[in-house]
Amino acid sequence: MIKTPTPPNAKTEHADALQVGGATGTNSRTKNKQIVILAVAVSSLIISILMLEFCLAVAGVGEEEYLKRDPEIGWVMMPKKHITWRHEGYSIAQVNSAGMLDREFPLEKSKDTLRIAVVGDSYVEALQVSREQNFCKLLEDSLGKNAVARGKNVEVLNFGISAYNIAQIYLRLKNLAVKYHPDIVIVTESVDATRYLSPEGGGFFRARPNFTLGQDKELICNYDKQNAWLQSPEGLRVRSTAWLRENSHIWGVAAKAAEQATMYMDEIKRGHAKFGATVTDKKTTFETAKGPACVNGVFIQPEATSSPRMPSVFLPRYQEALVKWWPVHRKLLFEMKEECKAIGAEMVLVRLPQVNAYDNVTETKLLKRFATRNGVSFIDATKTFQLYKDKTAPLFYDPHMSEHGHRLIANQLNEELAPVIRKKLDEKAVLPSISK
Amino acid sequence: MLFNSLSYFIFFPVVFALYWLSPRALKKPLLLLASYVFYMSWIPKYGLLVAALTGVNYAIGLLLAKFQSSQQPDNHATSSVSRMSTGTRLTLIFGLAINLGCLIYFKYVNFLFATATDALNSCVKLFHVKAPEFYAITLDIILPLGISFFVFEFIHYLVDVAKGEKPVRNPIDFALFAAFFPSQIAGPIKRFENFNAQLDTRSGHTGTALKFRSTDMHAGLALILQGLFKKVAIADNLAILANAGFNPAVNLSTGDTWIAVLAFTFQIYFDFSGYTDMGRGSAQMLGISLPDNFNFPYLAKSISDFWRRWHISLSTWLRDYLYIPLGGGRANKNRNLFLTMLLGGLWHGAAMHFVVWGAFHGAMLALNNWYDSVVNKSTALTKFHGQIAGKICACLFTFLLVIIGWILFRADTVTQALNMMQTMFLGAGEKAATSPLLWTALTRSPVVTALLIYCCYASLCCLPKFRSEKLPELQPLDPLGWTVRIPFYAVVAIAAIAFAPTQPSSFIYFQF
Repeated sequence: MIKTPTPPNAKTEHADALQVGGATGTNSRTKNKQIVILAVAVSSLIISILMLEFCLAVAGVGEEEYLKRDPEIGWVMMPKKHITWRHEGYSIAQVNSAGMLDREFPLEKSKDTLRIAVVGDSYVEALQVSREQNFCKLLEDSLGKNAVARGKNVEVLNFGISAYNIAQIYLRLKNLAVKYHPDIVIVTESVDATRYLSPEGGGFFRARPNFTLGQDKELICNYDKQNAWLQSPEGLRVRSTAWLRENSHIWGVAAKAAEQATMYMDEIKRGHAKFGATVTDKKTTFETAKGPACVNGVFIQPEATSSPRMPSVFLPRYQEALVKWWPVHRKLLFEMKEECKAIGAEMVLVRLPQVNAYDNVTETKLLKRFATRNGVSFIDATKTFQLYKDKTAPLFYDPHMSEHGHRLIANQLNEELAPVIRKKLDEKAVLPSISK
Repeated sequence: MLFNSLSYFIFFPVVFALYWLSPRALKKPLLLLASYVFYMSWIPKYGLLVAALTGVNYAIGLLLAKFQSSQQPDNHATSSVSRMSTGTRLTLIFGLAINLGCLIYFKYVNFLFATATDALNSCVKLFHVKAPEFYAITLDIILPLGISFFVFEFIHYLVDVAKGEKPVRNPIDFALFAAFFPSQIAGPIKRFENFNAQLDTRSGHTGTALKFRSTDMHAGLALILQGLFKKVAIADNLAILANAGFNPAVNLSTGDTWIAVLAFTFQIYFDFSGYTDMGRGSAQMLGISLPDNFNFPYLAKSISDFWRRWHISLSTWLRDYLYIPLGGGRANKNRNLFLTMLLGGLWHGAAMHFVVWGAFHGAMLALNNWYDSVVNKSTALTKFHGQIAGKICACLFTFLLVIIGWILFRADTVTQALNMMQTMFLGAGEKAATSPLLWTALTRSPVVTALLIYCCYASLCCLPKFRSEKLPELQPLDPLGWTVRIPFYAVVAIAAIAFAPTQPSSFIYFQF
């Protein structure tokens, strides 16, 4: 190998330059070096973030934060948010521009369209199954083929949002659903819906408008709890990170990790978990011989699927809440009926089933009584679910419905909505002739 | 305490900070204390077992050294078991009996009872003897974590000292060798000469453990994060699929059975090598180097090559303390290989399917041995194996044998394993699910992306070294400065958390 000698005067020139330039030259070089280091650090940080965002987007990870605060209704879905849901079941979904977990719908409907709006909570939202498998879409498909629809184009709009109580469902109907001019409004009622009218508890999902009854039995909406929470450290964090929550997968991951860490620390505090004790293996062979019954929303061993979460016995404290909050609940239902009446829509009350065949019988009776007294159709899906025997098709993940559960409800609604649809279409047919 | 738990990510930084901030004299006692805290966080009383075994082995080691020193000086360091004095031999046997006795009691006693009872009942049936059915006694024993690993380390220590190696005289050094938390539960199985040389910081010695080196910190942190990603993002997600697929109550289609088996094949690799990376990384951040355990085992070109790349510290232990004492390659090589692997299989767990797995690998190694001799005699075969096509064929065939082995390893019973193999190669029965269940679950899992990321990363790290004879198990990012390294570490850490399933699982090798 030939070594190239350094020119003899190079060193000298360099030394001269140092002497001539003095401290100023050295400083500027150090400064330049620092700038280069800073530039490399910043650019590598940016590249790393972009790379990670790309990988997480490809894998559909960190997309489970999809609710944002709303001053009027508590929270709504982030419009156009792409969601990959693995928390329970599995789905890939896209929120539409109006904040519904559904396709885009124009506000105005054509004359040959029969439009049904479904309002409710997470059971209606149905993130656990794909849109094609939720009962709204299944109902839309089956009614489209059903002779009762008389060849009309049937549209079923999903207005469900997670953790909504009946007061928020009312606001959702009043503020959004009515704008779509539905012919029929299905108001869904989950089991124990009444007790969620109570403002007890804290956190994101308890910071919402609360309704009480005034002296003349009028509804009074109170935002104190929501406002207080919005001023709390948690509320401020949620508000200040709204952009990140909507747009960053990394933020979604960090938020989930923080939530899990908080839960873990809470478990330790309560003595339910022990610091460091996570290995309980007693055997010298694989303890997971039975394997999970459900993987990523696929029932591998349907017969082994159990739903032990909800109590099968009615709890006394729920009874107290029912007694206290039923008048508000009833009033809200009445207001919803009035809203429907105002737009010429028919209201249908649907009692949704609960996991483990659990039912709050008193609440169901009260709902049925309300429906009878107010001329509202009432459909009870709980009974259908309780009588269902096919173990190869489990109806629930835990606690929401599986695709089989959604199909069962859709079938029931397809049959039991027939008189309502018939009535509605008859009315529609009569109205134009009267106007002529 | 699991390496992938929040507890460890609180525990380790605390130990790390205290270790490097404490005065030199306190470093080793502190590390020992931390190791016992780590171990006793599971079942505190088992810390006493480790301490007692350490004490006994320490004493026996000194006794062996005493016998050695009274022997002829020319026998030192080269003496085989046959040349040992009676005192040395008896002491060694006593030491081995204590260690193996402990292992047998905690790990195999219920298995032995069950096997003996089954044998008795079979004899009764075979000879039509009128006798009541025998029922196996089952003792309520919880297997101490890592017992198979630290017992093997003690055996290696005693045998080496009996052969003439100098014993460890410093009790703290010896206790640390046994209890060192990064390798305590699932290895790598250390060699005391190597480990204790690093702790020996007396003047004139080359001990490196107590010196803070920034290179160790970078490499250690990279290994921890790499291991975390392997375990949490890949192995834990694959575990869900493998556990579902190996459920005996499920009748899967042929495709799904292949997915379950491949999921376990990669789960066990990423789980164990992830653990090893985290252990080695933690040790390196404390200034201690632990031996390699993996070298891309699924790229092996033969079964013997596989065992040079898989769980290297165990296979070298088996070679040195079982295969060679049995006679090695000098006489009855195939028998010795078979017996070594059979016992190696039994070491993994007290169940018949582990024994069959060991026997399978023993038989394959014997076949491999025979095939090598055939290849050596045939010019055509030698030429074929020298070509790329030949190498690829050899890799694929070895991989197929390895996954057959893993079915035996993972299945609950040998019958289940045979049923799965039947489904894979001969088709599923009528009862099998018609829809692709595991395939659907796999497409919904983030593990596919995680595996792709890992493949890109592994290729980037290893391509420059691909032509070298030995591929190191990923030692990346050495030439990169902190400006690139820190964001990269953060990315890997977040990615590991991001891809983690909701339910974390224990490391597979913790149960052995």
